[in-house]
Amino acid sequence: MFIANSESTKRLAEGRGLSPVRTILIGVADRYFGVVRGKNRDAELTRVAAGRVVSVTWGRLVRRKGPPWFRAPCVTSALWRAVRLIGVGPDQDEILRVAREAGVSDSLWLAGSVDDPRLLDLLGTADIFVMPNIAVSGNVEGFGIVAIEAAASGLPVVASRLEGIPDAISDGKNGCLVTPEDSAAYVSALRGS
Amino acid sequence: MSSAEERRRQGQLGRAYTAEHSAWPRIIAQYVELFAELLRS
Repeated sequence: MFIANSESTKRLAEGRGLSPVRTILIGVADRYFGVVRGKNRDAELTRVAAGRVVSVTWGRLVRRKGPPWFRAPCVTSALWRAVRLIGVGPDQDEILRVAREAGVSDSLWLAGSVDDPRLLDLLGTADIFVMPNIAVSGNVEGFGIVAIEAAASGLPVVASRLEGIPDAISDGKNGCLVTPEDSAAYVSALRGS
Repeated sequence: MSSAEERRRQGQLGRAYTAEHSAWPRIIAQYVELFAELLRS
């Protein structure tokens, strides 16, 4: 018996000959449900946001997480220019380079690696969580734990309908799923239109 | 999600749904059920 953390992972496992495979999704730690908007507040993010709507994502900064691509819908919509990223990873320099070339460096803020108490404050300060994953061969999102951690913290979630993410986010229930790399769909979902 | 009120409403709905479906007690119950099933078989 093999236990997969998502239906997506189960399909991958079965495709490699494992059997039988059962799916039990991953749970969310209680601390995320304890985030209180207005009470959990990060001073630095508040200062950087300067009153703008803050879209945030966090995780390892790797290509499949989508930040380099996600700048596109942000550039096309002044309303949603502010993207804040939490995390470190091998593609951090590329993300910074892309932001510079697109002229949106002032809209991009990387918090780097943060501890749990600060992460909760950052979540309490943000307005929306985005998970703009893209398909990268050989590097899949098995589940998308950060998406349900964001949902548990009370953030509206907009995420790519890709790999294990639909196992974490039920469209219309605890977030909105969008076609990967569809800039117009992302902007529409973020605007709620 | 163009207004703070709408974001708050969606956030509250999402949090409630996530609490119902993804809180650890529910997940642990699924493991307990699975292991009980394995012990029976």
